[in-house]
Amino acid sequence: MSERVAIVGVGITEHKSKWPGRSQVEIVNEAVQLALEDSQLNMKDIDATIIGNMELFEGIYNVDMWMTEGDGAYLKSGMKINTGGTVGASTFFTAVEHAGSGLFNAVLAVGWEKQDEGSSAYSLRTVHENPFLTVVAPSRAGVGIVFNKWAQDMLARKSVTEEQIAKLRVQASENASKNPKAHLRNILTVEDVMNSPFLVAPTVRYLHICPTSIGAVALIIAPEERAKKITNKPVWVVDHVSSHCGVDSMYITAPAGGGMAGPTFWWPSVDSIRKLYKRNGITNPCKQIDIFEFYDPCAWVLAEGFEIMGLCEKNQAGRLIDSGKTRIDGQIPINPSGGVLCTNAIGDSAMMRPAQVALQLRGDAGDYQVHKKVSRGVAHGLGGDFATACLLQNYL
Amino acid sequence: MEKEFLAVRSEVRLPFKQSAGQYLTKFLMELRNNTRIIGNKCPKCGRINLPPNIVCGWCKIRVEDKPENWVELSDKGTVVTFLEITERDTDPLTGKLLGRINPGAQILLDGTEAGRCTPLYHILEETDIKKIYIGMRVQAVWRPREERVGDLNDILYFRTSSDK
Amino acid sequence: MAKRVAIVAAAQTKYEQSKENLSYEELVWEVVEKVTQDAGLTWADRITNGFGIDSIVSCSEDYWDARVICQFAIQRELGAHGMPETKVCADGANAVYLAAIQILSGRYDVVLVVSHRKESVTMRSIIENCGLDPIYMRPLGLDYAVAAAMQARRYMFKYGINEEQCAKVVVKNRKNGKNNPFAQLHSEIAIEDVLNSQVLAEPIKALDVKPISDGACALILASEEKARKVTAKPVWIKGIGNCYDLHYLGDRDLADCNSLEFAAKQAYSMAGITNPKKDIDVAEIFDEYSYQELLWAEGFGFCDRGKGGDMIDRDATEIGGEIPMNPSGGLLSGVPSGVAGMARVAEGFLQLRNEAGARQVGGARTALTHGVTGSCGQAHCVIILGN
Repeated sequence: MSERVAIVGVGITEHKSKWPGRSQVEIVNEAVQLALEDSQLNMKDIDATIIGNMELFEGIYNVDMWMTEGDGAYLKSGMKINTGGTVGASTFFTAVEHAGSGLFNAVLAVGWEKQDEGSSAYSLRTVHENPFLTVVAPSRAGVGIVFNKWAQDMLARKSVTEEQIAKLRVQASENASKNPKAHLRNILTVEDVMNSPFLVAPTVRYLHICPTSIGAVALIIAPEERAKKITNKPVWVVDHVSSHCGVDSMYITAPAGGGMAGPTFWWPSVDSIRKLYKRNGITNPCKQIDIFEFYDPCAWVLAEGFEIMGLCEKNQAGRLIDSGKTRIDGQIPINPSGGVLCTNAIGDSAMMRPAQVALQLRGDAGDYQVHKKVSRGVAHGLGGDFATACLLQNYL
Repeated sequence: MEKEFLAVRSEVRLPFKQSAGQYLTKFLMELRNNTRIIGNKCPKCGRINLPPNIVCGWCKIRVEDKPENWVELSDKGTVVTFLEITERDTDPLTGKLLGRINPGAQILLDGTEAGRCTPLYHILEETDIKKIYIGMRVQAVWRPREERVGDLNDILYFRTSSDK
Repeated sequence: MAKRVAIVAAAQTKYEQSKENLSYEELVWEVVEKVTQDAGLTWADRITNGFGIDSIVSCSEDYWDARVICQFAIQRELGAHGMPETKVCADGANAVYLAAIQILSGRYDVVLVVSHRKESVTMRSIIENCGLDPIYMRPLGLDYAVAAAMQARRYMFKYGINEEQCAKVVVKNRKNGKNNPFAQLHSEIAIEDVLNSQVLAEPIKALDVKPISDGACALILASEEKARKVTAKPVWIKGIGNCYDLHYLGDRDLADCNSLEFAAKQAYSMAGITNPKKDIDVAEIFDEYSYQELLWAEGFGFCDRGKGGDMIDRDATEIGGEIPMNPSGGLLSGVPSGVAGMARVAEGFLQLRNEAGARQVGGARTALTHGVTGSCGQAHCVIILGN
């Protein structure tokens, strides 16, 4: 990067399933105000606003135009990004690139979703229903269909058992119960999870997958010199990688998450994490990285994520779950925030991951602060055929 | 007193007339006219696009519309993954409950290799999910000519077959 | 600017009223194949030595493609396997802006930028109605055309611009369009044709608006070091700027264009431009509605505020005039929105390489290109190119 950049402000709103008292603009504004407060900056200190959102979920075209009312973009540079589930990360990366260009003093990145205002499950069908190739009838199961394939594959490899997946989900709920901004904060039991009805038989149950949340995340990113003046706890964005699977049409593969080279859904994650590690000399992530936030829309995905992040041997994800090492008090803490499993406002979820890593690296995560000392974290993003990964540090 | 919140309701109806394009049209016409499933093959790596596509995503080159690049695929195959959506959905516009769909599956068509051709997604005739398994053999059941219109539903479903 | 960024190749489809024989995939591949072949480049993951495209910035809108995350349909055609790809949802000039930012940041060296749209497949006014806030303006039934009519009325009232002067913009650009093989419309028209065309929303008439169009455009940007290896004639990006204005139409004087002036100032400052009329040799600006060419020209400083009408009366913006404007024929000769700003950059690129054929502005060394997103020019993006 031409300029080294750091996160200097973090703003996270609460997350709920319904929020009739607020418009989208107000929710975005709340996240922006929280980030400004966190960084002790004023809107006049911000030069550019990058926003991310799936406009078809809420039915707004050119949504960044209306959003100027809430994100303070009046007479500032900026643009709107849309890359699906990874949009929060792409928006964050775009802001990082703006801050690293030498042209800006401080860049605001905002991601949000207010899914009660539209019909996201139905909009999501357009992702895998080409008008000429539609065989699947309308379904609210949405991306759950893809996770079913992922899960079947894991069971066939004996990488996990259903009970271990349930334990993982319970662990996420325990973490989220300590995170005041998470959406689902009730602590679950293994029986709750294993007895919840199927969303997509024969593997994916309701309690395996993430909720649809309403909320927003804002991050303020500044280049090195400015960052050091703004805060004494900058979180350096050392590297960012994005990788897509572009060998199949989502139309024909998404309904069952298959595709050419095995599940198209997890190849991009493997590729982006592999590239991130290679570019940054990470050969032993368990030792070299202190904390991980993995984008886990489904408990099965999180389990596979352990292997993808190089934290366990092939097909040993279940053993890692049983070991307890991934807990908040463990040696390899993963998703101490509760992850996407407990909070999923699609537009902000992928930005929430670096935001949560940043809070941990600053020691500001309150009740869900991991017990070990942390200085380096990896944040991952996932959505459809796309994945992202970034490396954050609290030292240069 | 509880606060009252107002909401503005709206519905957007947007008519669309989209093009299948050159490659997909050929695929759809083969379904309709000849009950044949076709794909196209990359001249460089030999991987098959199903449905056919103008580019090979791996090699990032054009797959020319030439006879040697088109391949006819079998309408028999093996289930590589399957699923069932147990809950019925509601139509967002009318609020009516929609019908249940049959279990779906990704089917690796005979003669194609996993990792070198996309499995075809379709629904199965078998409605009892306990009878479906990975590795199950299936065979396409085609609609009669007068019902075929040139889309994937010209195959009614895939029937469990007894052959190996 | 510490680092230099150049455009090394550009490709456009012929813009047509309807490309109904092409799917989105086929439409996008046409320009991607052309631009990569012209540059002699492929994607970085396809080579073992040397360099290639290492990032992709796409530009399209879910509403127009009728699908959420619409770039899923074209991943193969973008060459996105194993690559980073980001979609900008705004006018195409913003995608060029982001590509420049990606290179300036040092993270990437060679960026492929692609935009596409098929306006013929659906109804523009419904989509543009959805571009206004859902609580106040949308229920009023406004769309961008109606909003433009209000802006045109305000602009004409405030400065005494008249409909004939707006019609002259159309006549000039349609005449220029005849020389552009990519332009959709190749027939000249007269002022009377414009004035007598069907009224859409007073004072906007059918021929005051750009036609419905389908097409795509692609560019490749590269860092200085890589650009010099790709082409002997790189076109440098000298300055960039973009800016948002307020959203509610009543919150600003629609005859002002503050966000344009702000974006232009950013770009001018980076490019070292102090006297736009003198320093810029050719301008490709966003003439979606005829009055806009005059209003934006004022914002750019090509004439004083309120003097847009005078400017066109003096023929100042003809190809041989003091500031040739839209020698390509502009949006009024037919190009899809979304693609339009990127097409302006592509045209500027051709001008500076002396490859603009019959529409060439002789001796052009600095070009101003421009894109607009939102109603009444709420957001502007300016890219200045130079030799």
